[in-house]
Amino acid sequence: MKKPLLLLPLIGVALLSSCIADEPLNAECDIEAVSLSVSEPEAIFYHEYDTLQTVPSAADSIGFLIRYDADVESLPLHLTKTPGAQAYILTEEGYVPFANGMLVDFSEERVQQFRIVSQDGKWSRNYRINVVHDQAPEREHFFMNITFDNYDFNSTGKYHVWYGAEENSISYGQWASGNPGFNLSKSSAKYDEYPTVGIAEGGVDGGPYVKLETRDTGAFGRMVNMRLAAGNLFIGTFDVANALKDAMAATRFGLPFKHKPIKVTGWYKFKAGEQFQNRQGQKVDRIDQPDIYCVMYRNQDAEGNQVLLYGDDVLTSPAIVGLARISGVIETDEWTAFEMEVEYSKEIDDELLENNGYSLTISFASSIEGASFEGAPGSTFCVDNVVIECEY
Amino acid sequence: MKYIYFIAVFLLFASAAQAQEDRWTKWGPTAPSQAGVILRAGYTIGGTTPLPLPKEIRSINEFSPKGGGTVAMDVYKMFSRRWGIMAGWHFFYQGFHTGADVKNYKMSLTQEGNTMSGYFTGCDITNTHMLGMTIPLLATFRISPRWNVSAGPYFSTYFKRSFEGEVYDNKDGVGYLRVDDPTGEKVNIDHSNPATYDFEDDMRNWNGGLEVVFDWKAMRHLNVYGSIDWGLSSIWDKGFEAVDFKMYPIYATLGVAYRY
Repeated sequence: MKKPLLLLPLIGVALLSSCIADEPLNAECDIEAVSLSVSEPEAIFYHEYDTLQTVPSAADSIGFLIRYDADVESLPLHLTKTPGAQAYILTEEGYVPFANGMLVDFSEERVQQFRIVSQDGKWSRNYRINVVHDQAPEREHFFMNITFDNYDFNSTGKYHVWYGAEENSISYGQWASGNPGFNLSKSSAKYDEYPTVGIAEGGVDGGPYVKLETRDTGAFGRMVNMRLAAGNLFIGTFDVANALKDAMAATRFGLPFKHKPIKVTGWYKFKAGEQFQNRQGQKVDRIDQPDIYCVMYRNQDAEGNQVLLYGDDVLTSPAIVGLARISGVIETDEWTAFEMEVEYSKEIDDELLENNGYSLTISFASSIEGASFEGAPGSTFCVDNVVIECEY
Repeated sequence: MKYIYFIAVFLLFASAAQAQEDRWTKWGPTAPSQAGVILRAGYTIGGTTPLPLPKEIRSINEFSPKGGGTVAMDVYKMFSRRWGIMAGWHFFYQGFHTGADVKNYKMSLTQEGNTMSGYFTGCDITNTHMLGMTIPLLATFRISPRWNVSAGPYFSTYFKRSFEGEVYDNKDGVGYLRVDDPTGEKVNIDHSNPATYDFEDDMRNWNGGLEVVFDWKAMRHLNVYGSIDWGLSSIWDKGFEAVDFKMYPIYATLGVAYRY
């Protein structure tokens, strides 16, 4: 009697498996990667790897950075798409089919528009691709002003994003925060309930400032053992694709920088949250602290591969050449000045500096252990008018 | 001689008919209009499944029943040698575990007022169990002296039920959610941080369907039986959208019964 019974589940699987329908066609329509074919990449780009870009799933605009004194005309373009998807390029006759290897005119920073249609024909996405010139190096005393004035809603209108259009900003400066990750866990949150929020008035000079607040991530956060999200804002990118799988790898710090930072100054207000908790959500007897650090690092290894710093090595990587970190933060509801010196562990090579061989990041966070999902919900850190002073 | 032969043949036929008559009475009911009780105990296996399988389900890699069982009491009443009715109370525990590869599987999870929804591609593990009671109302047809088949509608009510599981990457390392729709953000999900779901609160506490029972009279008072309960109403509450298709419980029971 036993054996026939054991066979029954197998029969069940066989019966069900025989009912498997034909595979549905792909519904996705992404550009996963873009590359440009150039005979001598290093004459136009700073690094050979700059000719290939992997495209984050949420991105719809792809920019290739070239040397300030280089020019391009039409280049063969190669798109890596979702299997089965069809690409179209916008021309004067409207969208026409695009095949890999076709020449695309990228002269004068022209923006080319593409449309990708999924294999099942039901979905499509539009993309913009262009080639932009980097800033020319200047051998002068330099101040990078971060006023936090330039923020807006993201494309879905759920939360704030910052962009680097400030005077003397990094040329294609890019700010990132963990807001896209918080959006996954707390879809019901209003924009001002996110960890990183722009406040329009009340900054040091009366204008906008950024408010970082450590927030509880709710039931979904507990599900993946990420119970809180510190407010954060940093130069780099946040890869929401890996926010759940490998949170440390989701924060990618730094963008190429042509100046040598020596000092960072700015203004803050801070209030620690009531109860510090560890990753498991257990109470810990500790007062929360905010964090600011500025890191300059070598962005290429000896083999010519790109080096990026992530959440787990942004303060410890051997690629770091200069580091500044805030200390002595007090709880205050008045705007309070801070200043931190960049300490260099290695000499800056000026030729490398001019050739985008170094990357810079500056990062602000409402909980110093926020990257490990530890801190006190409610810790609030406001920051305004930060200046990165550069020797040249 | 011829006369004797005729009598012999006659007696033979008569006794054969008598024997046939004896078999019908021997395996009971002894009188055509007899009523009685059957006490049953059985092993229940099966699953809760969409029918037909939607194309989003690409393969079923694991399936195992979760130790189900049924105890039941049926009462029957025969109206004639062949026909009767049967009704009863079945108490059951049934459940299963399954692992399936899915592609663009529309799903939506809601916890504490927050919704995470989109299209998932990867591996979906489901565990479900239901504890409840079934009341069938069956017509019985006696195929032969030892075989009965009964069929009719049933109604189940659940005392306890669950439908929970998790999604993560499949054996090829593919596991991701496209947030909201296939053009939304791609969020990778893997074994180390699976996304879990629990739809207990979205399940109906009743179900209706068809039951078919085969009884075989093994001994004077002992039946061996097999039955199938084929659910015709979805297990989900009206308006439940987290799973994009209706799912039906289909469970079979094999067991023994004492009858008198």
